[in-house]
Amino acid sequence: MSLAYIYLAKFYNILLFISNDPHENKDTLLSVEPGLLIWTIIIFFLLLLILKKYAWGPLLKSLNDREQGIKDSVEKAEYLKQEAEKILAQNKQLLAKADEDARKVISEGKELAEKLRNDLISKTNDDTARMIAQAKSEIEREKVAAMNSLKDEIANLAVQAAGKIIDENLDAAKQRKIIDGFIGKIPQN
Amino acid sequence: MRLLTAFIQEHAPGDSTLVQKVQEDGNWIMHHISDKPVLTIPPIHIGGFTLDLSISMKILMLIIAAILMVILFGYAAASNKKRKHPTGLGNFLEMLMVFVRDDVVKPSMGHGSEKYLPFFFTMFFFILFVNIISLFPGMSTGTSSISVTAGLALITFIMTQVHGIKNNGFFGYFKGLIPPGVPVFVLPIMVIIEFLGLLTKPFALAIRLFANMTAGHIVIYALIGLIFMLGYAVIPVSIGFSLFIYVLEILVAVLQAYIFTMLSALFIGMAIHQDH
Repeated sequence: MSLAYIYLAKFYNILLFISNDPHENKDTLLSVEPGLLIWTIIIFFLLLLILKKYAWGPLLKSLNDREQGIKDSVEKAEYLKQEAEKILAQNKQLLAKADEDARKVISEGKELAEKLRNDLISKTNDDTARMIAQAKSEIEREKVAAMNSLKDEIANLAVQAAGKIIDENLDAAKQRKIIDGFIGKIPQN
Repeated sequence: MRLLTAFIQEHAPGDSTLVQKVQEDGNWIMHHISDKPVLTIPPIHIGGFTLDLSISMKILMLIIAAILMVILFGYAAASNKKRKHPTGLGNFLEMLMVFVRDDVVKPSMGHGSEKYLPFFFTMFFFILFVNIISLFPGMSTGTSSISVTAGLALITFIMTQVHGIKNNGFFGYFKGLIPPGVPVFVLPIMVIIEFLGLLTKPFALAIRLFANMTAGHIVIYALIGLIFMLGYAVIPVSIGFSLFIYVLEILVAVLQAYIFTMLSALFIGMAIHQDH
């Protein structure tokens, strides 16, 4: 209890700025000394003048310059980004167009090739058919010609045989036999 | 005082020299936080008024803080000028400056605060440096003198009036102090109230800074004094609490610089932009 009282008294003294020492009476806490006050103001304004010239000015300038630079850079970056996005969109569009064009070209090429192939096939078929027909007619013609020459040959042979028969003794049975033999020699076609 | 002496004699009877010392110098806390002359200059007499411009311990602290500021900020300015990207000390001080500019002055003062930035920078860093220096052993606390804080508050007061009058005109400024739409019969009271308000603002500034910076030191001295009063058994408690208060003092040192600057900006801003 006494301890608490002592401290209370002690701090009460300090709070009331009461000094027990008569020598320190002028030096209490709440007495404003003009000398100290004037020194404070002098030091403050000297400091303000010196620092304004050598520190705050240059520091604020460099700070503002840097901030302006950052702001400009950000704005420029934003602008460039927009530009890039625009270009990208354009590129995409162009690419899509090119893709479509390529597809069109390919499909057109395919169509053309198909058409050409079909044409070629039909042409080939026609040619073949024509050639076959030609060959057939040629064969027919050759056959007719061969027949005709065979007929001539037969007639000649018949005439020769007749001459021989006349030259030798014409004997009916012999003649018959010769002619039959001759005819038998004639190839079947 | 008798109670204290009795208390000490009862609890530490063996340590007669200490008791003697405490008895002789009863106001030892006061002694520690009070000012001591360093360089005595003979007082100047102006009329009936005596002006003592001796350099005392606290003024020495202010001068040390000022010199330190010139060196550090001069270095920072030179260093930041050389590089495009500030590093180290320059970067740190610039960060604090940006804090003062964007978080202390601009919100309190509104637009047009750029012009007053050097003043507030000086104010903030001066108080901050003086406060921080006081935490080093062997140093005194410049701002724990009411004269010093009154000087700083007086600067704010003068700045408030000068810039208020400069921006609003002499009559405009004092007319603007009274809020518009006040009935005529209240006017005389309002004039007195507003005039007192004008004076209480710097008074509060001075007392706040002084009390905050003094209180911590008194508590630390009191805690250390407990060792001599109660014996060496309380050393761990005293040291522990002192350390706690000391760390708190670091916070208070920064906080008070911030508050002083913010309120100064607020008052000056209010004087300049009276319309809101």
